[in-house]
Amino acid sequence: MQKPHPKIAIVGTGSPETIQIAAERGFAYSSVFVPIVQQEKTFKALREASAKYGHDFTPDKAMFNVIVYVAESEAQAEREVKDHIRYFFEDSTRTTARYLNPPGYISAEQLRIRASATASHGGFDWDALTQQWRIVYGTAEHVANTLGKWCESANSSRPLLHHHIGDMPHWKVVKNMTLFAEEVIPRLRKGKRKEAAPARERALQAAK
Amino acid sequence: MAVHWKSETVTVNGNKTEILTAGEGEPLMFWHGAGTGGGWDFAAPWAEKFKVYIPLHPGWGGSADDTSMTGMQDYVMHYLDLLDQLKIAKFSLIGFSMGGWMAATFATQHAEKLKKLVLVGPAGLRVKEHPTTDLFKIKPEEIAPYLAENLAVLGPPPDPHDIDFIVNAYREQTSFARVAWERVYDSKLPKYLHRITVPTLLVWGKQDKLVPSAQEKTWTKLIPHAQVKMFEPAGHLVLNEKPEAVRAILEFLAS
Repeated sequence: MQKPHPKIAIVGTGSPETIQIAAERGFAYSSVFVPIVQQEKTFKALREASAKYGHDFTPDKAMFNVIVYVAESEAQAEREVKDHIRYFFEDSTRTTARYLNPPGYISAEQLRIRASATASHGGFDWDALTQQWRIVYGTAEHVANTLGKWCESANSSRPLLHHHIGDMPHWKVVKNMTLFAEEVIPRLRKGKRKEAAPARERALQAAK
Repeated sequence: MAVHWKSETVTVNGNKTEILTAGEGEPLMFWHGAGTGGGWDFAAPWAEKFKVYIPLHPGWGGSADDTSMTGMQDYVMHYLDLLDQLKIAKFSLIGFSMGGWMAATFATQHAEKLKKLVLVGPAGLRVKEHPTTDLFKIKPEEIAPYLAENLAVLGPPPDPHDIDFIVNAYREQTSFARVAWERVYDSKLPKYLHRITVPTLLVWGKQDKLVPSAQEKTWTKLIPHAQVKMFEPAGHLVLNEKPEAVRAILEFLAS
């Protein structure tokens, strides 16, 4: 591989084998859209395995996907985004085992675990989805707080945001992205500055 | 006729390998195809005159997975090791489907180890006018008519909720994919088939929808002394569908 090389992330669905590959090489691991509990287990395994192989784990090495929608109120956000999320889970991701796991795509042991578990594709349960998966919608305040919390609990600085989902029309995507840029990002930055403040203080003190 | 298959496990170059045996006599080996779901009852008559060995290929049945087996040559090397270990210097070989491709590859390189060769609905050749069906393109629930003319030989359909069945089928498909995902043939095989100098019999179900029986002409052109026995109505699983095909193989091998 060329040296230096750009940052590399391996995308995975949670198989221990893929985490090993990323950890061994000191790469980042990008988790596809999977339930939060499962994802945090994956990241924990990544942190532990990275250390085992002598690589520093940094929060930019854990990436997770988020479906995000910002609107004037929580009720309005739900009204505007729900059908598109439904479309995504009921139509876009509906497939048969044959396409979900072509031969060799996952190990036989992983197939046993997944085949024994309830199907995560093709079903739609709004309450379960919004509680168990990284879907956040509502006011800028709520979205910023939730994203901040998630980054902290996942020990990640790399949420991958889906402002467009399923069959969302253009105007909603533009509205969502604009509100996110103008109202969510500044809040996240402010939070970050607050965290960084003590360090800056210390640095200034030291300089004096 | 019922036969008791004795199962034993040996370690071949680090690989746990399951071998089924039955009967007494000269060694006869059967190399199976890409699936092991159907069992081995059809092979019982061979045990009347031979000591029959059915080794499970690495990645199938009770044999361990070996992710480094990515081509037919890896299987040839595996079987050279196994033959040494079993102290078999000369034997008769039957290869079915993917196992036929394997057996033909083996025979082009080690004809001196073979007494006779039988290829049953063998994969491995590219015949443009009669292409081998790409198994990976067929939905599992639609596969039955590709396998047999007489669907009764397939038994009841597998329970879609049987996790063990699903996992084993996936594992065997993965092993098969390692050698056949891109193509179910070896474009170099035709060039070397003339090296098969032992008596050779080709057996086919006339209505074979996986490896079309019309491919027989290409095989017999390339292995000039090969005989062909065609059975009908029968599909790819001709050995299960036609006991007379099993008998014909026995007669060929014993004569």
